[in-house]
Parts: sequence; structure tokens; C-alpha cells
Amino acid sequence: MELDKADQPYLIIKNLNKHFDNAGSRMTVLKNINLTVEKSEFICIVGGSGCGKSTLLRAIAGIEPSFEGSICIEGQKISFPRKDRGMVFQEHRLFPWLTAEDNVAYALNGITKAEKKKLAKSYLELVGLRGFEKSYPRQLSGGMAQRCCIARALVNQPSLLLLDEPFGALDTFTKMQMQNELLAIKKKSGSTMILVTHDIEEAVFLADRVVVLSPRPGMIKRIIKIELAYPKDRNDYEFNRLRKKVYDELFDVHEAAVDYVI
Amino acid sequence: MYSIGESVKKFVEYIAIAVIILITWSVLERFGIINSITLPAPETIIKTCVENIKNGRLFNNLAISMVRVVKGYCLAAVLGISFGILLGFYRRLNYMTDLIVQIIKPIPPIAWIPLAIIWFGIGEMSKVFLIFLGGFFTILVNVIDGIHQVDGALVEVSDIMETPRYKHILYLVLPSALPNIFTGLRTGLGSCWMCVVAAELVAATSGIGYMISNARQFSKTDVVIVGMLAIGVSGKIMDSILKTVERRVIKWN
Repeated sequence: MELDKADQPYLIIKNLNKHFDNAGSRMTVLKNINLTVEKSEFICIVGGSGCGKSTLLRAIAGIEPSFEGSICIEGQKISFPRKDRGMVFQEHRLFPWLTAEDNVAYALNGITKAEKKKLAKSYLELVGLRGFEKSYPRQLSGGMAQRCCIARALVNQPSLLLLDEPFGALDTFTKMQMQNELLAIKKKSGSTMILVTHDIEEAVFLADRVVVLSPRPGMIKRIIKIELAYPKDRNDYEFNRLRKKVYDELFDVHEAAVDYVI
Repeated sequence: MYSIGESVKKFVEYIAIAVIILITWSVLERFGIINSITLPAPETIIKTCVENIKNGRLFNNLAISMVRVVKGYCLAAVLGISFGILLGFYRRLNYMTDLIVQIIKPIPPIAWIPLAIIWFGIGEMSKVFLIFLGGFFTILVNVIDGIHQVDGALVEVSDIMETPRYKHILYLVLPSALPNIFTGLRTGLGSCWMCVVAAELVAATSGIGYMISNARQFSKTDVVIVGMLAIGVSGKIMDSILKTVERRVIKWN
């Protein structure tokens, strides 16, 4: 019997393993990853550096060539990049020789120049970069460059947006502002989002579910559901309880294990 | 932008050392410490320069050399950039031609003079050929390097967007190779000037190189130096023009 497409989860990762071979020795980066993501869900993947979280994201994007297991989006197996999946990296990766507008327009193909310009303009406006269309990347601040990247990733209206530590290089205030804006963009666009971070607060603030990865080899330790009402309050008791829950899981802290020695 | 006072100060700084050398040189000449045939005084050189400008010999010869340089250099630039792009993109072709390029490249164009004369005679063709050789390899190698040095992180971004090949090349690879291409064009121009003089020293009846070698036979060191300076100044002017073009083209830096 054929399954109805609507009943299937949006993204299914099955038994994913990834090794890197170098100089004869084999290093396992990701081990036995199984994950399903629903349409329009916001997933945050947290883990220490080198746990393979970026590799997992790159595999979903289709730019990590060889791995064991399968990744399916709406029933289709992933083996190469598609513009239906947008990606934002930690470094802005804008083309220095193109203006903000042309950087966004570069992502568009198969439509007229005027249409490209119009779309690029409207997406720059969406991320709050109105008036900076003609600026070159070097003239943009870190936060503005990252906004421009988000516009570039969104302009093809991807059903899935992948974000690899997108706010990692920003200062705390800019970061919080960008997180709020990302949630607003998500509400407008309805895209499914997967964000990789090592910032626990960021994960709890953004995600519907937080996936905690263990250190090398990266395995899913636990998936923590974040059931908080929007807008989330960073100082709320429940918010901080969930933050501690992610923290404890990440650093193997077990409750009631406190010894007093005098 | 600098204020006027600031610009004057900058200019004085720029020429100061040259002026000091000229004055010392002139003084040493006056006291007979420097022999005026070995190295004529600056005043004599200026006088000779004016003379040669007046009788048209300097500009005639310079124009002839300039035309040769422009011909050979344009040929080197067009072919160097075209082949550079081709070899930059097709790594296999690059690998297959590498041996030949690496062996021919270190041969100084002066060593080609005998063959060039036998192949093309002592006319214009042999000179243009030598100038072409001087510029071609420098430009070729820089273009190939520039294309190979494209940032892998940006290539990934382009791949994710399913960018068509022509767009990938035109808007990503070529712009990122431009700084290297300009480095090649500028150093290539320098080698072209070296070659034209070498070619004219050996077999020519006109041109700045000829003017120099002819003056040497009559021990007219002042004319030799005027010729040398003419080459230096022309090279500097052409390089400045290229630099301006570079700044206009690479305006994102």
C-alpha cells in the first residue's frame, strides 16, 4: 500500500554514518544518526566543536559527497545540492565584487534581469537591508552581511533553510536581534529550518526541538522538545529550566550527584 | 583626500632622494671626482635630452619602440589571457602542457634572438615575436594561478544555488582571478620593455635600443643615459595607466 505523501515526515535521516579517511586511519565523525523532521519545524543541533554537527548539515545540503545511510526530503533521496535547500554559513561568504543586491540576485536563475532585481530588493527589505542594495560586502557590518546571506538563501523560496552557526561571529546584542528576526522570517516564509550552534540559549530560543550530539563520534544523545509559548522569554523560569536540561545533557551532569566534602 | 599643504609635503617626500642624488652627482662632477665620459653630469644629460627632443630623434626612436612594445604586448595579453583561462579551467590540459611551459618559460627572450632572426628576419616581425615571448609566459602563469586560487567556500555557495556553468565562470571565477590577471599584465609589460631593447641592440636601424647601442659606439654616454631614462619613464607611465585601469576594474577592494 502506498503511503500518502502528506502523512510522511518532511525530512528523514536513516542510519547515517560518516567517516573521514586520512593517512590510512579511519575517523568516524557521525555514527548512527536517525532523525525525522516535520514540515515547518525549527530544529537546532547543538554539540561541542568537532562533533560533526556541521558535517551533518552539509550532508543534508548535499555538499558532503560520501556517507552511509540515507537522507530523504519529501521521499526524494539527497545526493547533490538543490536550490530548494538554502544554506547560510558562519562566515558570510558573499562575493566581494558584487553589491548586496547582485549577491542576492546571483542565486536566481531563469528569470529576467528586472525580475531578479525586484526579487533581490524585496528580500533585502525583508531582512532589514533597505537602502543598502548598492553596498559592497566590505561596506556592510558583520550583522548586515549575515542578513544579506539570509536574503540570498531565502530568495529562491527554499522549503528548507540550513544555517551553520550563522550568528557565531556576531556580538551578543546583534545576535539576539538577529535571532528575533530569524523567527519573524520563519513565520513569514514557513520554511523548515535546521540550525547548528554551540550556543545553548540560542538553541532553546529558536528551536521547536533541540538535538544534542555527543562528542566524536557524533551520535544523537537526546532530542529535547521545547514547548514554550511565543514570544519566548529568555529570562522566564521554564526557559532556563530547558536551557539547563540541554546543558546537563551536553555536559553529562546528573542531578542529585552532589557530594559535600568537608 | 589630502589638503594642499599635505599634498605638497607628500610630493617633496616622493622626489627628495632623487634630487639629493642629482645634486651630489653634479657637485662631484664639478670637482672632477667623476670622469665626464664615464658618467656625464646631470646638466649635460638634460642638455642632450633637450637637443634630441628638438631634432626629433628621441621621440622618433621612442615611438618606433613603443609601437613594437604595444604590438607584442597586446598579442601576449590576448593569447596569455585566453590560454590562461583555457588551461585554468581544464586541469588535465594544464597538466599535459605543463612540461613544455615549464621548460620554455625560463629561457630568457634574449636567447631567442638568433632563432627569431633566422625565422622572421631582421624586420619588425622578429622584434614583435621576442616582445611577445617576454610577456606571454608571465601573463599565462598568473592567469592560471588566479583561476586555481578561487575560494572553495564561494564555489560551495555557487554549487548550492545550482548556478549554470557560464554564470559560475563569469561572475565567480573570473572576478576572483582578476587581481592575479592584473599582476600578470603589469609584470608582463615590464618584461616586454626589456625584450624590445635587447632585440634592438642586436639587429635594428631604429628604436630606442638602436639609439643606445649606436651612441655607445661613439662613446656618447650622455645619449646612452637619455635613452635609458626614456625607457624608464615610458615604462613607468604605461604601468601607471594599467594601475589606474586596475583600480577602476577592481573597485570592490
